[in-house]
Amino acid sequence: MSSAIRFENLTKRFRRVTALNQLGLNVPEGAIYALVGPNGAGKTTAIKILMNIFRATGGHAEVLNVDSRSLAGKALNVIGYVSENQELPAWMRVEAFLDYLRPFYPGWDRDLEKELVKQFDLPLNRKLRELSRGMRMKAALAGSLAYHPRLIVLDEPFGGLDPLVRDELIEGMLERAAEATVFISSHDLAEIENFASHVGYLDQGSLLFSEEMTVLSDRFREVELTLATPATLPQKLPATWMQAKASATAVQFIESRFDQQRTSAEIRQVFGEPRNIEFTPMSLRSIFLAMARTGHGLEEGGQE
Amino acid sequence: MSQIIHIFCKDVRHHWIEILLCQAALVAYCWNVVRQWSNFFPDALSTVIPLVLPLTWCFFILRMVQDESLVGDRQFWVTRPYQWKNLLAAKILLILVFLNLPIFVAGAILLAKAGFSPAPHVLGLLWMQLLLFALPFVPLLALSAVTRSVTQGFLTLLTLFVLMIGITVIPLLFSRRIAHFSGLYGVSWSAPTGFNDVGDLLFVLPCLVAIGLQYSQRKTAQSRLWLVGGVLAAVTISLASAYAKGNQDPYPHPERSTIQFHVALDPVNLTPPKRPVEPDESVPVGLPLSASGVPANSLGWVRGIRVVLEAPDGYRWDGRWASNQLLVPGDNRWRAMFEMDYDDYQRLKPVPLKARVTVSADIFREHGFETITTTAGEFAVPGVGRCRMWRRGQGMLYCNSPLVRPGMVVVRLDPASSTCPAEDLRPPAVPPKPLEGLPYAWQPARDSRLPQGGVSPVATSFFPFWAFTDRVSICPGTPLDFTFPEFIENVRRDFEIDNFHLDDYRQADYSSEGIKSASGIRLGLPPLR
Repeated sequence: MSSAIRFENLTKRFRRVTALNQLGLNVPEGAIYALVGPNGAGKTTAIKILMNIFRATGGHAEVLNVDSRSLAGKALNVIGYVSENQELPAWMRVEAFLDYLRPFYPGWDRDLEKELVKQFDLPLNRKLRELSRGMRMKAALAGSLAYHPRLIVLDEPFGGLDPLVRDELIEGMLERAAEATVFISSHDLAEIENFASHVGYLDQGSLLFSEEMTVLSDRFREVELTLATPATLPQKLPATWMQAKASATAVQFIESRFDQQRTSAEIRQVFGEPRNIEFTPMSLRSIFLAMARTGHGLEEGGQE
Repeated sequence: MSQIIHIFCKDVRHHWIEILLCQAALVAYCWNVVRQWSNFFPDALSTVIPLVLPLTWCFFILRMVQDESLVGDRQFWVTRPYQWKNLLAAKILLILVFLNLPIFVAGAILLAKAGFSPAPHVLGLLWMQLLLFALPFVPLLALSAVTRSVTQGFLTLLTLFVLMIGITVIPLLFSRRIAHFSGLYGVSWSAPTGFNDVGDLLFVLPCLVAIGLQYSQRKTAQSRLWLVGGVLAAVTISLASAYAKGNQDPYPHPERSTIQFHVALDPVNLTPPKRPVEPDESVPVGLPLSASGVPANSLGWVRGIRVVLEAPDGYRWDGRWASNQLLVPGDNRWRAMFEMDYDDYQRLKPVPLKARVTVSADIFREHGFETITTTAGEFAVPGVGRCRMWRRGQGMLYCNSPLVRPGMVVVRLDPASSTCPAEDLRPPAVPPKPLEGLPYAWQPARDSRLPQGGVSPVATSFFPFWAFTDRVSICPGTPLDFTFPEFIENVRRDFEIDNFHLDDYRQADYSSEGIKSASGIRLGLPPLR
């Protein structure tokens, strides 16, 4: 599958601060890729380089097979970009905003525009500056979906929105996702967990991992052992075990490359035959918390 | 093209108030120009209106450029399929349509109002628009492109304004070419005006680069550097040029001179004022000079006089080039005025000095005689334009010309031909001094045949008659003789005065009694033959 977005050794420094450090990332076409990470991780910087708003200090980015440095003019006909802190022409009414954008896009779909206006319940006669934050985001999204973009880039689109508006936006976006690649950044795992097909975790400018959601969910397990006799944790544990702790006969850890047979074999090798083993699937939030606490940088596939 | 029009229409919808403000300010400006044709005395309105017009330009350009701000990373439009060339073209179109075009039309209306058909002057009007576009619209466009907000733009403009005042004033320290008011009207202000031609170019070119760079790549830091570099280059060139001009000889010896022109110190009785000079006071000094050799039917325009004083200890005072004087045929005597700092004066006063005096003059032959009889209203003067009297019964004429001032013009008035009624001729407070010849007014030759940039294409010239203070009166029906002297050649004379005692030449003030004949009677112009 070809890539809609590709970052190669992307580095961005703001004077002495390194915002992105050798970022490498592929977003397959058709994916809904969520780039997550804490505030200040470098997500917005990566997106702004992608959209040719910032220039990278090193490396390069490609979007729909176009070098992001030359992303301008007609190349933007097939890309929709919405950001939480985008400055819209506040003086325009919603209708005028859509009217203004329409001639820029040869692929603008009037029917889709009407559908989006209806779906988002946009007040056409109100000025953008008079709209709530959620409504402004909806207007921006409507203005970025109505031309059937091949790529939708959303930078923290749901920040500070109430759940109802967020769900409406997600719904509107997902309805178009079938025909587009979606690249979305967020610091809130819960809001992307239900719809993202791929996820990447960025922390302090470095990508800790990037993979499909199903693979990620499959390879992380919370493991609880009950041993026959009290034991202490040995010095050397398998590299894929995270946050291991022992208390009397109970041992807990997180397996970051779960394979029932292999993991069971490794447990036996370290602790002997346990009395009981429990493997519990983890939520995305739990996985990321574990990753963040451990400071693990696992490459795709779980390789350390 | 459609994108250009699309952005243009959006900006018109958004900025109609700014556009209206510009047009209102332009109307007010034109109204003020027309008003001042008949009322020269400045009032509050005539001071404020010319300031308001450029402010509305700044406001409009800043606002409409920053509608698609090029500074920052949050603007919605940067991720939309704008073509940068189209965006820039739309902004330029706005300037052309809402600034240049109305000014062009206003210029044509002003020409028509002044009594000139605009049709023959269309090229001149277009040239004025080109100049106006280059300066100030291009720099304003560049400034708007590298600033984030109107406030930031205006603060930058304020800084530049202070800087420009600085570079206008600082060159005066190097060049004291301020023409002292020497008693004759028609004196031109020759202080540097800030930017010279090279400076202008060096200012506009980086602006164009910054605009191109900013619109094509949004490289704000680099664009700002270009602008700062342009300003610094222009300032440097301006200062260096002013310094060089202050030190070089602006009126070199002509290659050949056929006219036997002579200038010498006039041996008159000197009567310096008794009042002592106060500390820190500038000291007026008048050098009585006598010139001869201006051929019949000719005039001499003294463009510059330079006096250098040398003390026995080697101390040297250089008065630089000053003065502006019209010499008529015959033996002319006048007092060339200059000023000295108090400290220089005190230092040089006690010792005998050597004075080196240089006089450079252009000689003109009177040509193109035209007798025009004044009327109560406006009357046409071929070669000048349309003229009016400055209030009934007073000795000043003012004329409007299309695009540029006329070249050198001399106007004679024969008091015997005055048609002023007796009730207009109130007895003067001071009895008129005797005058040999006819009272006259004149205007020096212009520097350029091309119109200057600006809004009004109507150039106004004033012709105050030589014996202005003696109430030479013009009334409807008074005939005036116009001539349009032609340049013949430049002459220059250098001479030295030994044993020059500065204190003998000190004057009470800068007033002058005008040029005199050898008999001490003030000289007017000989009647036309």
